[in-house]
Amino acid sequence: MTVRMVGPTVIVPSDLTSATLPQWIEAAVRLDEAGWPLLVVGNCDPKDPLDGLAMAAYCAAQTRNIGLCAVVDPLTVEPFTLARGLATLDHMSGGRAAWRLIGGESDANRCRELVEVVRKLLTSWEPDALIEEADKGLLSDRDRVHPIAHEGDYFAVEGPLNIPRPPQGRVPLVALAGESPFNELADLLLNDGTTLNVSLEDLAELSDMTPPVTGETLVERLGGLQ
Amino acid sequence: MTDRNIALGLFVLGHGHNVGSWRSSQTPARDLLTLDYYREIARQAERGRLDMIFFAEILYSYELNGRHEGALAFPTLDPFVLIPALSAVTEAIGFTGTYSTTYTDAQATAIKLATIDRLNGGRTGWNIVTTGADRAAANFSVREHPGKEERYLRAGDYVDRVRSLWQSLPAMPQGEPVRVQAGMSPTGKTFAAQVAEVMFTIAKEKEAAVAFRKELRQALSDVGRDPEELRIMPGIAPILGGTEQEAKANEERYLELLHPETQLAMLGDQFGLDFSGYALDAPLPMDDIRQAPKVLSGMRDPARLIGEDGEVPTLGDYLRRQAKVRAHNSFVGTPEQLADMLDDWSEAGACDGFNMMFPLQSEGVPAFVDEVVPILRKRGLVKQDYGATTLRGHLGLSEPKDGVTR
Repeated sequence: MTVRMVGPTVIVPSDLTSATLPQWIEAAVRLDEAGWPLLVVGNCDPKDPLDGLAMAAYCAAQTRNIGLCAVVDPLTVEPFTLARGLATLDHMSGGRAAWRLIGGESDANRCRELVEVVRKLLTSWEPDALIEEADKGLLSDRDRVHPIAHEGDYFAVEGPLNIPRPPQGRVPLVALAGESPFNELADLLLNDGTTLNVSLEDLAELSDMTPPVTGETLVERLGGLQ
Repeated sequence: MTDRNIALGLFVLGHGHNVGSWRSSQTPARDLLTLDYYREIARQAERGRLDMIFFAEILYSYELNGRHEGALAFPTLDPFVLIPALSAVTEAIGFTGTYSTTYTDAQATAIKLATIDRLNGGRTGWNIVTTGADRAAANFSVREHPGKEERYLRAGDYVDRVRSLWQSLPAMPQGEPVRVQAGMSPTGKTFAAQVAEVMFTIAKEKEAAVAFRKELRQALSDVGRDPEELRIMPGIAPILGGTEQEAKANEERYLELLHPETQLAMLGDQFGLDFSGYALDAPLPMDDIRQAPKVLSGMRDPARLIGEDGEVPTLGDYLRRQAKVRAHNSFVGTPEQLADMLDDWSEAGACDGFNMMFPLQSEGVPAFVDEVVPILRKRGLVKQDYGATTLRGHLGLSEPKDGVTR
């Protein structure tokens, strides 16, 4: 395998199955130590599907800096459930969560609305709404937590989310080049040259390299490629 | 020395089951959003060789007149994100997460549970619930909340679909995740007899609990299941102290955590009525309550507000009573007395274990692990060490042989 080092790189496991799960978890720890910015986890293979949010959460607990992008099937999830999952992952990981939609081409309009509602929910708490005023018995400021009152073609969601705003606020949606119709929705659009589809065999080579990454937040670390 | 293996669960909710527990100064509320907070509790529970940690799921935020109640805004994270994260930092303890059959897709839930059970080597349980809150419906594109019968019918089909899908996927470490259920209504009991391997129940009296367990075990036999394949675990909210006086003092201290604003918000949420304008020393405004937007039966029946003596209490007295009386069984006493009680209930056949619901987890969990568990171990009532690696193993449940049983 020839690795082209063109900048911060997203690693997409090409042979992630339930049988290779333990090795990929070990790999996540090594990639994190080597300074790689983003690992995409989960898959929608109907014969052996793996839930992206669960995998990202498991990896988050064992790593410090690497971004963890959960693969999401947009056709089997409700926006409130997905927003709760993403907010939880972003809090647990200290702001290292991202998501990527796989499938859904058959119902692109539903996917667009799903993304819109998830983003409204993730930002339904203002950044400083968790006030913790013990003397007054108030955890949050009622005037800084907002219902979203979304009424669309596919979803009707009152909100707000029942989890305070996650560290990144709008948890970034990542799309890879050519993933129409979701490119237009993405917060981070990554091209072929920065996306490595990697098998377990290739990992030995990768973990020795240090990719050139700068920036504090996940968006900053990956944002130069938009 | 007996050898009973009383099952022990720890129900982790916020900083504790006292709604005001976050106000306890040692533990800032925002800790509830960090992995560190849950990791510390999980490791303590694992040190005590507890069988599992249990997480609830809440799908709405408390609201009154369009404002989202700051007093009741403690966050409950997604259990199926929290559990895989905690699985990575623990060795043996099991985890049960609540996930609604009313508002999630069966295929997505099956994949989630299968992935988590692989990640943690078979330490996963699924608390199967139907969601009965109309405020949740408003977050899931549903205008009318489905009735109870309809929800349970749907839940039965849902569980069948999840289990069928598991059959078609690569094998999981414990066969499949443990099925947990918590409903005690007649419909809930029928569902449990067919589906549940663990029942999380409310039981305040030993004799009633013995009768309930007998009834459920019989119901399992009636549908062709082995009654030994059910663990009934009532919730219990213990407040411990080195002496009885200390325990009582702790109880008083915990009651102080419940701010009047919080209690008014809870009462307001219950009836859809803003109570903040009423005087605490005047009788409950029964006429206004009877005309409140959410007056219904059950929890929202205004008749429940009136004392056994027929007197209408003052708003302040009612709130004090509410703060003390919990839906679940409570206990105030010494570690020795709690061990006696758990022993007594188990001996009598009232249950197979307990789900511990500490009012303030930062105090209750270490006290239980360090002071009660050693007594239980010494008496041979709980396991000395994890003898198994899976949740099924911890609970003594066998792996499903026949796939879908219903």
